[in-house]
This record gives sequence, structure tokens and C-alpha cells, in this order.
Amino acid sequence: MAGEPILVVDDTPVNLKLTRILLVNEGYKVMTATTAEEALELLKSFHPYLVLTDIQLPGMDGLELTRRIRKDPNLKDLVVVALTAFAMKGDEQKAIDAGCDGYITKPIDTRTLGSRLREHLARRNEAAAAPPAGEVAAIPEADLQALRRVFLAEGREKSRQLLLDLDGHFSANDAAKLVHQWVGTGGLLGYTAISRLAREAEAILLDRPLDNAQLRESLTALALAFSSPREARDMPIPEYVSQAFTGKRITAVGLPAAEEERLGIALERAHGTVTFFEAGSNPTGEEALSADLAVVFVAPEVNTDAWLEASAPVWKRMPVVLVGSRDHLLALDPKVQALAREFLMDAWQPEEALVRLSLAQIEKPAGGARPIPLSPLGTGARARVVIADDDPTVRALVSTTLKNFGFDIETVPDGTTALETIRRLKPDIAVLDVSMPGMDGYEVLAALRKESLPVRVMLLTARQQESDVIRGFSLGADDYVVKPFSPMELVARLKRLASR
Amino acid sequence: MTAALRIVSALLGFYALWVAGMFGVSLARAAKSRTRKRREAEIEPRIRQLLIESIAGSDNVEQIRKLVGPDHAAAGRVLTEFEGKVAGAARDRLCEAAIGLGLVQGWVHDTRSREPMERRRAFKGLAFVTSFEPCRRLSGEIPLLALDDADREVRVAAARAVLHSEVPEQFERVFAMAMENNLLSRIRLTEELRRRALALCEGAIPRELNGKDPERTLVALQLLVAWERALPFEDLHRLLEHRDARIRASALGLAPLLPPSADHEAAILDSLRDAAQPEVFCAAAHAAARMKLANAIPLLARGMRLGNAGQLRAAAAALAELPPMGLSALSDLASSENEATAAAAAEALERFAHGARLG
Repeated sequence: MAGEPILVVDDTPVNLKLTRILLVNEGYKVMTATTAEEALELLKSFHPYLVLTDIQLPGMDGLELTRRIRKDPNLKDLVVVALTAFAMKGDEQKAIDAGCDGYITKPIDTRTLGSRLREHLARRNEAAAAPPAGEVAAIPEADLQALRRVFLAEGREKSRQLLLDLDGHFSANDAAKLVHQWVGTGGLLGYTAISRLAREAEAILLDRPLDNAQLRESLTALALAFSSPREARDMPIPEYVSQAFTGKRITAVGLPAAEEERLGIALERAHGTVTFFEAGSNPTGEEALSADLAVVFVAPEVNTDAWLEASAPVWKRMPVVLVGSRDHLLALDPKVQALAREFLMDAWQPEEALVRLSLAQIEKPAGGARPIPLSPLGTGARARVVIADDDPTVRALVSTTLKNFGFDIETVPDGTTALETIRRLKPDIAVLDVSMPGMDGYEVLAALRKESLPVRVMLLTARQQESDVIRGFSLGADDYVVKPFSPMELVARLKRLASR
Repeated sequence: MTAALRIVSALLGFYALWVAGMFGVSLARAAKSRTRKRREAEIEPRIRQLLIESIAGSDNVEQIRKLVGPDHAAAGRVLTEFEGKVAGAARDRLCEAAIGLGLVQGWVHDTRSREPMERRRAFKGLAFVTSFEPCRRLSGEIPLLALDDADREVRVAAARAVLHSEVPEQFERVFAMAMENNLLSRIRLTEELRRRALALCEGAIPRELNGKDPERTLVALQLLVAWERALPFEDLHRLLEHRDARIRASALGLAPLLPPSADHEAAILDSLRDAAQPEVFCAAAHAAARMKLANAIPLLARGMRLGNAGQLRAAAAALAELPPMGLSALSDLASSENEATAAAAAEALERFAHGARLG
């Protein structure tokens, strides 16, 4: 039964405001206090059913507040619930020892806060009805957005200030208090990454001796997270994705810890249940095979070979998504490539993972095979490209990028060698720098056109004057890209050239 | 005497020890430096490859960190090698890696160093990464404040960093700084300023061009001509008729980059009529060719008959750019009795034919 009075004690204004909104929308009457002293003062005239208090408060902390409430005969029927953070080891036990009836770990899960408080109140009243499962607290969107804006703006400024202070006067305790607020508020507002990073930073700040290098790194990550909050829970999940995962079980095999975490968070948002298996685990185990979808990591150093055999039972039992770098995926047996329903390559994003994993479930294997598109030419053969540049950085950059996209690459450091290599290899495309030792790019191009060699030529140069570009095209270049260049744009242009 | 000898011997002994000590120190330093250079030569290609893989999408900052150890200088050096080579998301990924490796924070710290070389390195690094918004935020106002630094290298790097910002007032400050610095600094900032041309045309450029100091006007014109890009600026007529021939010549260089205007065309034709100023004539011939002014052909042909060697070549090149009437005029001039005129016309025709063959 909603409508009970609740007192919320928190020193973080954003936390306080948001918790208040959540609880008011649940139908509770809410009073707020920012310090334990203020709470005690309020309790003289206001008798709530429940006190929700942060443990870390300025001055008197939440534990002391609880002890005082327990000592006061007028307040002893109050339910006290503590808000604790993972970073403070042992907080939960301390809260219980101080007399709390329960604790809620930060960041607060806005979907379950109401129901968890009801559970506590139900014990008190023995009359309260539990809310429907999975009910999500509704916060007015405008309020939520305003709070988020304030949180991010303040976080940006303060995290940056902390970084600057590191070189001067820096108080680890003050910083820990500030970061502690972000743990809760970040989670409450849906910024789980910020909350997680804040928790890490808080742990570093509370550790002695203080590791400055680690702290700088952690605060930088935090500042970055505030600057560009790529927040999983903040992004709405499309309905069809949500439907694809609700109640589904996913088997994930051999994923590195970081990818496990990312996948776990992503699937949690979509209400999927994921079970992680070690790389060397048994591919015929019933637990693994009873899932609805399998995600298998591919890397030479990871022992998932038994899962990646074309005869492994997993392929017949469920759709399989392969995860790994493009090179590793390309190196797989083509039969296995064809069996895989989807691929997650390189630095995949959680949103991309959800969409691909949901597609893997929905999609029926039409004809089975759908190998990785190996050839940019679309003919089954890889396009061969000769890259001529005297700069080793550019050679390495272009060659690595193009290899990732299925091109065969040959690199040369000067114009003369370029001409010889092109004559010898007869590549599909030549990427020529203009300023090179020996023959320059224009001379190589002119020689190629003079000999009527059937090669498409792209000039990749820092020269961007109109006259340079015109000269390039008039000598017969098929494309002209100016440095600094975007590797992805280069790939797109080369693909277009290759498909002509 | 014996005592004095002992003192002298002791002093000599101390001196010899000191010399040996210093020699030892310098040997140790040299060895350390060699070891460092050897290590750098060994790890730099690996760092480069890891950074490239990071551009391609790999999350290997941790690997790079392990490779470089506590000395991040090698990573910073390799990262700044990408300046002028990558753009777009690839550059952003490198900047992200710079933050992940703690390079940006280190550079921010080093901007306060008293060592000029360290400061230069720091600002060079910041100039690269400030294209990425989070790095701009980390570097704050530091680049802006460094525009007045005593070291020219620092000023130029800081200016490049500031030009990554989105604040037009800051571009104007850099533009003003470039105007006050030497030609080399201006050349080095040309590309970055060029990208901010539209914002600068709103205020800073008209202000400088309409200023009273002819030297500043000249510098501003040279900067704009070097940009070699179309500019939304129309009020050039006053400069095309300026009494200073250098300014007239530079303004003529700028005219083809501005929106077409009858005033500008008239000023170009006037300049072609006045063969007394070779510098101005040559600039006008070039402008006429770029603007394809067919009515300039008689004046160019006249210049070929009356001008000096430089004017002859400029007029011939311009006529070759104005086919078919220009080429026809050149053919007539190739049979001129004036040997210099005939030779210049023949040479221009030959160049045109060569270009056509290549095309």
C-alpha cells in the first residue's frame, strides 16, 4: 500500500531529487534531508514509516544516524534502510550492525527501488501488497533529462578540476567523497559506466598509499565518460530487440573479461540471461547446449577450437555468433564461417551486439552458407593493391586498414620500385603518393598510362592545390585523396574503384 | 719544499680523479643515451603498429602501456607522427589512445615546464590531439594562453591547437598572431587557418584588409592568396587600385578566388594596360587567365610585344590558358619579328601541346 511517509537522507542534491521523484511517483509522501543532523531534527516533528539513508554523509554518518534512531524510543518502530556502495568493503555488515533493517547497494536500480522499499514496509505493516513484478518506476521525462544534464555538466567540470588538482593541492578524502556521489547518482540516472568508473576511482582514492598514476588514469577515464557518456541503459532498446532476448538464455564461450562485461551489460538491458563458459569448456555439456543462442570467441590464443569444429553439436542446436578480430575470423575454416549466423568484429559496440545477436536468432538459415565477404571485388578473389609511399607510417596504416577489409597488399617505399612491382604483380589498384624519392607519383602514373597497364590508380597525397589535383586527373588517375585522410573513406573509395 | 710538493701532488691527484670521474660520468651518460635510443628504435615500430591496429578498432592501449613502460615519450613521439596523415574517426581513436595512455595529461603538465624542448613537445602533442573534443576539454585554456609564449615553436603549436576549437573569437586571435609573426610561422599555419576561412571572413579579414597599415594589408593578402580557396569577400576594388604596387599585385592574386565582379575585371584590364609595373602586369595576366577573361587577350598580346622578359612569359602563359582565341594570338605572335616575343609564344605553344598530349 503506497502513501506511507518516507524520509530520504542523502548529501548529493541530484540523488536526493531523483529518489524523491521516484518515490513520489510510487505514491509515497517524501521528506528529504541532506545531513544526519537535519534528519534528526526533522524526525522530531515528522514520523515516517521508513528512513532511507546514505551511509556516507558529511558530519554524522548514516550509521550513527541509525544508532540514534534505534536509541530513541519514539522512533524505534521506524524501518531504516541504508544506501551502500560496493567500493566501501564491509559497509553492508556495518549497516546491519548499526541497526539497519536492510540495505540497498548503489547505484540504485530505479526499476526495483519501489518494490524493495515495499518489501521492507510490508514486513513492518504486514499489510502492504507487493507490486507487480518488473514494474518500472516512472519518472517524468523532463525531470529526468534536466537531472541528467546537471549531473553531466557538473561531473565534466569537477572531474576535470580533480585532474588539474592532482598536480597541485589535492585532497584524496574530498575527492573520494565527491566520486562516491557519482557512484550513486550515475547509476540512478542510468549512467552505469560512469557509476562503475566512479566506483573504481573511489576504491583507488581510498587505497593507501595513493597510486597517483593509476588515479590519474582512472579520473581521466571518468572525465571522458562525463564528456561523451556512451550509456547503455540510457539508450532506448528497440522493442524487437527486447522481445528477441526476453527470457532467452545465451551461452558465451571464451570471451575475455572486458568483452564478457560489455556483453553481460548489454544483454542484461535486453532482459536476456547469459551464462559464460571458460575457453576450454566442454562443447557437448548439456548446460551449454540448452541455451537459445551461443556466442563463441575466436582467437588463436583462446582455446575454443572444440566449439569451432564444423562437427560440434552447437551448430545444430542453436544459432552461433562468432566474436573476434576480422583477421582471426577470416582465418577460420570457410565451412565454419558459413555455419556462423552472425559476426561481431573488432571493437564492437553494445548496441551493435544486441542487434546482431537478435538478428542471429530471428534469421533462419536460408541455404546455410553466408561467409564473410572476403572480396571487395565481389568475385571471390581478393583485390590486390600496391601501396607506394615513402612514409612508413602511412604504408603501415594503409596496409593494415586494407588487409582488415580483405585486400591483398604489397607496399613499396619509392616510385621506381612501385613501377617495377606494378609491372610484375599487375595489381587491381595502385595507391601512389606523389612526393616520393626516385620517380614521383605523377611520373609513375604517366609511365603506367603510357604502357597501358590495366591498373586503377589512386593518388594519396598531401598536395591539395587545384593544379595538383588537375594534374593528377589529367595524367589518368582514377581517384585523388588528400592527406590527412580517413582510412574508412579510403577503403570506401578503393572498394568503389575495385568494383568498377 | 717537500710539503709544497706534497700539496701540489695532492692537488694534481685530485684533479686527475676529478677528470677521470667526469669522463666516467660522460661515458655512463653516453651509454645510457645509446641504450635509450636503441630501445626506442626497437619499440617505436611496435608502438606504431599497435596504434594502427587501435585505429582499425583493436582495444590495445593496455598493450602499448606495457610496451612503453614508465617512459611515455616514445609513445608520444610515435603518436604525433600521425599528424597530417590521418583524419576523421581514425584520428579520434588515436586521441582516445593518447588519453588512455596518459599522454594528454602528461603534455598538459609539461606545458608548464621551464625546458623549452619539453614545452615544444607538449604543445606539439596537444596540437595533434585537440582535434578531439575530450582532449580539448582536458587541455582547457592552455593553448590559448600560450599564443603569447616567448618561444615561436610553442606559439605556432598552440595556435594549431586553438584552431581546433569551435570559437570564432579564438580563430581571430590566431589570425592576428599569425599576422604579427614571421613568414615561416604564417606558412606553417596556412592550412589550419584556411579551414577557418569562412569564420575569419566575417570580421578579422575585412578588418585587416581595410586597415591603414599597408604592411599588414600586404601580409593579410599574402595569407589569403596562399589559402588558394574561394572566399566570400567582395570588397577588393580599393586594394586593386591601391597606390602601393605590391598590394595591387597581391590583390590581383586574390581576385580569382573571390566572387566574379565587374569592378574586379575592370581593374585587371587596367593593370594589363599599365605595362610600366611588371610585377602588377604579371599578376594581372595570371588573374586574367584564371578568370578566363577573353577580353584580356588583346592586352596580353600587347604586353608580349612591349613588356620585359618576365611580362612576356606571363602574358604567353596566360594566352595559352585562353583557348581558342588566346592560342590563335600566340600562333600569330610566334611569327613576330621581335625574337623574344616569338620565342616566348613558341615556348607557350609547346607547353600547351605537351600538356594536351599528357591529358
